[in-house]
Formats: sequence, structure tokens, C-alpha cells
Amino acid sequence: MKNEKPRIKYAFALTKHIKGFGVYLFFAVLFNLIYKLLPLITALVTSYLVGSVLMGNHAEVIHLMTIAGVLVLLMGAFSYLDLLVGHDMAYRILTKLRDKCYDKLDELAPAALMDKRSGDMISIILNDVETLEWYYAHTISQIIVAVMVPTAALVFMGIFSWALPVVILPFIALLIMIPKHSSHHSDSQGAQVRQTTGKLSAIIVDGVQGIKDIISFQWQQEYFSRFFQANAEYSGASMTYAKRRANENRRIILLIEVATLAAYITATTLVGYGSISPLWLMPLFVLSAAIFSPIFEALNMSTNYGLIFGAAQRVLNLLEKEPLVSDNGKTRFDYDGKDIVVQFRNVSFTYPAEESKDQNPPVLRNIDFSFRTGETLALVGASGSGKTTVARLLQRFWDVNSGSICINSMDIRETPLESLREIVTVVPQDVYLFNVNVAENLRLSCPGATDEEIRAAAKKARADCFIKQLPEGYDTIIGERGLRLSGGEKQRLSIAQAFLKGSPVLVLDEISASLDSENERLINQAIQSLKKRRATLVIAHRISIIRSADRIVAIKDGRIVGKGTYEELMKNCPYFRTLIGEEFNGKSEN
Amino acid sequence: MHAQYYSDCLDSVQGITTLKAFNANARQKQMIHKKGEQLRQAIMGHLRITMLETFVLQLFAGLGSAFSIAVAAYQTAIGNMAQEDLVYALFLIGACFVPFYALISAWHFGYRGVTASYRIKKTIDEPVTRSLLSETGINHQTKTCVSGDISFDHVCFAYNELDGDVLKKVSFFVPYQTTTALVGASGSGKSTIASLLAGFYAVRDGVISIGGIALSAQNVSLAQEQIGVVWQDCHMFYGTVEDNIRIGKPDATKEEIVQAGKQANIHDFIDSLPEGYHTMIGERGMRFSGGERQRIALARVFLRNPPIVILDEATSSLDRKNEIAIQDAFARLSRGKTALVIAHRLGTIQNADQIIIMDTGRVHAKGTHEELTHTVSVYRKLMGSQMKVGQAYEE
Repeated sequence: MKNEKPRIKYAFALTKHIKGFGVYLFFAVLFNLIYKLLPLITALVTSYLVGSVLMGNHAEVIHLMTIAGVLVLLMGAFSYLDLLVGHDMAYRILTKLRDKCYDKLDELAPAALMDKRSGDMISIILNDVETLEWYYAHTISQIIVAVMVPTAALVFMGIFSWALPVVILPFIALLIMIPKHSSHHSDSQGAQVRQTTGKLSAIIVDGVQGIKDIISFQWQQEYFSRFFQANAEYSGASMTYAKRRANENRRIILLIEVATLAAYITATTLVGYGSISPLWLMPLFVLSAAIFSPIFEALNMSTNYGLIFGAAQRVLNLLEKEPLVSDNGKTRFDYDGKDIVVQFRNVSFTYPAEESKDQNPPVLRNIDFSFRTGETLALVGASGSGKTTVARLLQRFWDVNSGSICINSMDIRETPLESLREIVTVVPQDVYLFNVNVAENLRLSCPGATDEEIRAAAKKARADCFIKQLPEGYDTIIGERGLRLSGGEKQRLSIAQAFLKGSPVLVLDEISASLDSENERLINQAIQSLKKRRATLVIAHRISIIRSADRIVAIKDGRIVGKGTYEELMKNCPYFRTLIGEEFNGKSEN
Repeated sequence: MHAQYYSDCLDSVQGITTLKAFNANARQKQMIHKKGEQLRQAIMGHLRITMLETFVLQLFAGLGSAFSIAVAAYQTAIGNMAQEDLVYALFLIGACFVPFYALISAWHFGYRGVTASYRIKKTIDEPVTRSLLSETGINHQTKTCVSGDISFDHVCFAYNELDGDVLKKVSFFVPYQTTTALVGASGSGKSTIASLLAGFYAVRDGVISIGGIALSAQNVSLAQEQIGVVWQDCHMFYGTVEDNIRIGKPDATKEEIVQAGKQANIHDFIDSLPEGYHTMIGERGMRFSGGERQRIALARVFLRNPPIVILDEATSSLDRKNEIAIQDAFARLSRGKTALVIAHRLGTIQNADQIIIMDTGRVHAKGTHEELTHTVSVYRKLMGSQMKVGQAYEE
């Protein structure tokens, strides 16, 4: 499998995220250590008690019982502390990891996520990160404890006779070999489980979003068979994983039982030959069984390493992914109300090819134009000519391959993304509304906006009238993906967002193409007032929009084939005439 | 809590371009971080309780074994118990509490399962009230030949009681093999009519019949077989272009798919893609424009070839080429079929056999283009603004 690294590397990378939680980790390990040591000591005390009773010494019974009682109470208290501190630390780290994952998605989108499915991405944030709870809450301290507690016990035994540790140590070595031996299977099976989970999640999201098409094409059967298949793959992968885990467990338990038996026999023999006092027989019995308890717990968790590191791989791969656009700009663009000039200087651009695919054809070649405050520039061209790419490049979703885009002579790569996006607003082609109320959706573009400002913006965008008619007005929650609003209504909300944001540079992407006439009229009005005192770039299809622009740039196959006013282009640019002709003929035929 | 966090993340990731366009992504990040913190607190709050239970179990298991051993030791000391029995007792008492420790660790997971089961049960038990889909597919034996006329008889419908009726006593008739255009401002109820015909919801009052048979829970799947819909926001499923067209007819051959692609005026476009019909479509058809998606949906309907077709014309984002391609393909598709178009384009409206003007949930007027132009002022107004756009370049 691709990107597979040894576990130790993932463990190291995961451990780096503990940074800042050192104190938590210290106490988590300490409490776990005490919690694991206490049963051992209690067992020692009680068995010593039994031993002394057997030897006929009854004097110390009450005294030892009191100690055992106190130890049990302490054990209870530390069991709670151990769980609490371990989990508290783990969930703090997980929350931080989730934040980092989301931030990464934000940084990567949309360029590096074009070939990803959002259900799958979310599954990383939610499920894979959750799986790492095992690592942070259990694995780390368990491993430390599994080393320290048996070492202490072995040393204690060694005080009585070197024979006991010598008998036990080889078994411990064998035990550690078990997960090591199957780690290859465990890793690939764990990765398989995670991948099938992601796929299943993506299919469910696809089905929920496409439910209208599924029903109206009666595609349920096909969809469900896909769903069932993904589900079967998932449960198959989980089953394979569980079987291997059970198999490992079986070997571990068997080995531990044999080891304990061997220790019993050794201890009995030693007592039999008189090298150890019979008083210590019981404590040594108890100790040789107890020594394996922390090892067993750590090994039992190790059967989950496949899942843990499978999840770690997905999380870390996401976090290590490099964005296509780096936010290294330092100079903030301070807008002081003065005029703005946006320039595309000899820009060429090709979408980066996906892995193992051929190079994509260039989308823009030597594009050169500018527009300034108070001016509207229309970009025209057939679909696929590269118009939308121009808007994407201006937002730095991708960076140009050669040439540059400048605002007031400063390359946009020299300014922080956040500052760039403050001065450039794009009213997108595909308006996405969030699952919150209308006012919140509008406030998105200007968080401090008062209710009055929101209303005013909605009025200017000619959206106020329909918002008021909604059941709860501005407080109406918009269904997922704005289900109940028409396209025109969504676009007017988007324009209201642009009003609120009030950026000096405005890009209107294919807006107002073909709405019902009422909507088209309202939107045209809204746009006209929005364009005032701004530098506006319109990606246009409608003849009315094209005509109302001050200047026009015609693009064909990524190259500029004509620049000028409407009249000039009609005179000098045959391609523009053809484009307009298509519009014109289309309309007049009807 | 998990579900809330999940849907917030999904919403944000899917709307991320919009967030960036409005420079709202940094604030959205903070919102997601806040939700993450809330999720953590909820998990910890829940864990504290389970941990307390673990603590109690652990404590009593420990006290139990210590006390039992003490009693056994005492009994031996006063001579009530044989010495070898004390050895047995020591081991048995230890073994006796082993299952309790196993129970302690199982507790943690068991509790999670119980919480999850509530939510699963809630989803499964969710009543399917207004939808007709609850009964989908139970009654295929009522299959009779349906001729494709459509009638709405005093249909009233509300998405929920709070919003009030979206359709108010809507009545109309679409004769077999004719085309009817639905026009009206956004929110007038056009799309709702299409959703009702597609069987997404059941009417509150009144009757919808197809081929003279009233639409009901028993025959909704039969009705759905007769209808092909091209939605305004057609969903492209994860898979190849071919897979997406095949949705119209799962057992279609490659030839049939290419044929449908040609009929839907999308073949040349698909052919120009790097891997033709095998090109993968990104999630939500990301790389395809609205017009291209609609043409792929049209190809699906061509494959299905149902007697009734519905087209929800896109309100936006179409260049002229796409628009003509779609209109042309739909004209070909609706030949000899009953067609209902939610129309935004003048051409589509003029070519319809019947035009229905919807206004705030009511049928405002019905008739042909000529009739309506002469008699209905709203229609003239609607058409007027369309005309103006047309006139702009006739000057």
C-alpha cells in the first residue's frame, strides 16, 4: 500500500501532538503506574497475611488487614484518577487534532480537494481522530507501565532467587514477539477497515444529497446494492480484523497461562529445596500471576494497533498535505477608499494534473487585462473558455503558472490571503447557503452587522420582500443546501452578502444568466447599485449584462481574442460577433 | 452531539468556496473549533459518569476480595478452617472477582452501545407522514397500462403546518402527448407541483391522477415508472459519466448510452473529455457546469423513455449554447410524450400547447400563448420583461 510507514514513525508523529500537554501526560502515566502497582502490593500483603496464618503466626493479622483495606481504597481512588486524567488529556488532544484537520481542509480547499469526497474527509475528522483516543488515553501510559511494573516485580522476585526472573523473562520476550509478528497483517487490515469506513460514509452522503434523482429514476435498487456492497466490504474488513485479533489474543493468553504455570512450578521447587521461606510461597505465586496483567493489557491494546495506525495514517496524511497555494504574503492591503486597479499581467495557467494522470491542457494563455474602480469589465466566451478560472485565480484558489495578478501594482501573492479576500468579493456561480437562519447566512460576510444593516443590504439586493414572506422572516432556518429557496432567491441572498461585505473589488460569476423575468429584473437592479464605486468584473452570458459593461474582454480557448467596447468588438472581433450572434439568434428564433 | 458536529463540519466543507469568497472561513474555523470544544465537554461529561460507575465496581471488587480473604484467614486462625483450604480460598477469591474486572472494561463500551441504540431506534421509528414513499414498491401487481395524461383536482399542499398551504386548490389537466409550461414568480408553487408528481409528498387535500388513476401510496412506484424528471439541480453521483447516465436504465448497453448521450446533445462534450464516457465525475458533479449536468440528466431520461417527462428549467448559470442544447434535447424528448416544464425561457413558454400561470400557490390563468397575451395582463408583464431583453440586441 502507498504511503505505508513503519509504526514507530506514526507513533512518533502522533506523540508530537502531545506537545503542550506534558503535565497531563506526566500525571496520566504516574496515576496509571500507581493504579497498576497497587493491586500488586495489595495482593502481596494479603498473600503474605495468608502465608503468616499458615505458618501459625496470628499476631499480625489485624495490622495487615488494615493495610490491605487502605490499599484497596487507594486503588479505587487511583482507578478513577487514572481514567479521568488519561481521558481528559486524550480528548483535549483529539479536539486539537480535529481543529487542525479542519483548518487543514480549509487551507487545502478547493484546489487540493477536487478529487476528494466531503463525506470521506469528514470521516477523518470525526471517526479516525476518535480512534486515536486509544492511542492517547491508553497506549502510551500502558506501554510505560507494562515495562515498569513487571521490571519492579522481577527485581523483587530476583531478591529471593535469580531463578524466577530467568524462567519468566523468555516468556515476556515471546509475548512481545506476537504483535510484532502480525503487525504487517494488522496494519494492512486496519487500513482496510478505515478505508471502507470512509467509502461507506461517502456513499451515504452521496445518496442523501442525490435522493431526488434516486427516487425519480427509481434507482433505489442500484443505489442500495452499491450501499450494501460498501457495507459488506466494511463488515468484511472488520470481520477479518476481528478474527486476526482474536487469534492473537488466543496466543497471548495461552502463553501467559503457560508462563504463570512455569513460575508456580519454579517457586514451589525453590521452596521445596528450602532456598525460599514457605512464608513467601503465597506472595510469589500471586506476584508471578500479577506480573502479566499490565503486559496483557498492553498486548490486548496492541491488537488494535492496526486500527490505530490505520487511522493515524489517514489523519497524518491529511495534516501533511501541502496546499497548492501558500499563504506567505506579508504586506497587508490596506484599503483607504482610494481607487483600485486590478491587473492580470500575461497570466498563463494549467490545472495541476491528478496523480498518475496526463498533463492537463492549459486553460489560460498570456491573459493580459485590467479594470479599475468605477468600471465594469465583462469577460465573455463560450463555456470552458477559462472565464471562471479567472475568478478562481483572483481569489488565489490556485496560483498562476506564469505572469502575475496585481492589485494597485502589488502581486496578490505578496499579501496574506485573508487580506486579499477582504478586498475581493466573488458572488459565486453556485451559491451555497448554510444550515442556519437567513440573517446568520447574511451575517457570514460581515460578522458585526446589526439587524438594521442586514435588512438594508437585503433591501438593496431586492431580497427583503421574499425574506419577509418566509414563515419566520429573517429567523427562518434555511434547509440543508437551501432546499426551499429558488435559484433567483439564493442569488439575491448572495448579492446581499456582497453588499454587506462591501469590498472594493467585485467579481460576479455567471450571475443572472437566465432567471425568470421578474428575478432577472430584480437581480439586474441589485447589481447595478452594487457596482457603484467598485471595480467590477462580470463573467457574463446575458446580452444585457454584456452591453452594460464599460469594456469587454473576449476569451476563446484560454486566449484573449478581442478587447474593447461593445461597438468596437462588434466591428473588429469576428469571434465576439459569433458569440453575440448565437445569443441573438437563440432569442429571435423563439 | 456527534451528529451536530458532523453536520456542521459537512456543511462547512461543502460550502468552503462560498466561505472563502466572503472571507468568512476564519470565523467558520472558530465556530468549528467552538463546536469541537463543546463536543469534548459533552464527551467528558458523559465519561465522568461512566468512570464513576467503574470506580464503584472497582472499589467493591477490591474490598470484597480483601474482606473475604480476611474472613478466611481469621477462620483458619481460630481453627474453623483447614490450612490447605485457606490456600484454595486465596486463589478462588481472586478468580471469583476476575469476571467483575472484565465487566468493568465492558461497561465502557456497553454504555456507548446503549446511547447509539437510542438514536438508531429514533431514526427507524421516525414516522413517514407526508411522503408517499413509505409504501414504495409494495404493490407492483396493480400494474396496468397508464396513458400519460395528468390531472390535478383541487390539490392543496403544505410542507408543514406552520408554513401554511403552498398549493391552494390547484386544478389543471395536461392531455396525453401535449406540453404544458408552468410559469410564475419564484415561490409561486411550480417546483412543488413537480415534487408532488414525482411522489415525494402526499397531498393534503384533493387528487392527483396520472392516466386517470389517482396517485396513492399503493401505486406511487408505478407512477414513478411513468415519469422522468430532469431536476434543476441534478445530482451527479460519484462514478463515471457512463455510470451516471446508466442510472436511467441499469441494464443499458454501451450503444444505448452513447445513443442517449447523442439525443441529449451531450455526446460531443463527453467525447471531448480525456477519458470519454469513463471520465470520473467528482463529488456533486463538481467539474461539470449546471447545463452539462442537466444534459446528463436528460440522457438518463432518454434511456428510460417514460411516457411522461418533467423538466425543471434552470433559473441560472446557463450560457446560450447550453440553453439551446437543452431546449433542443428536451423538444426531441417530449415528442409523443406528455410533458410538463417549469419554464423560465420565452422559447419554451411560446412552444407549449398550454401555459399555466401560477401565483402564490394558485392557478392564476391557463391558456395558449396567444390567448394569454390577449387576455391576461400578468402574462403580458411577465413576457414583457423577457421581450425587453430580446429587443436589446435587435436595436
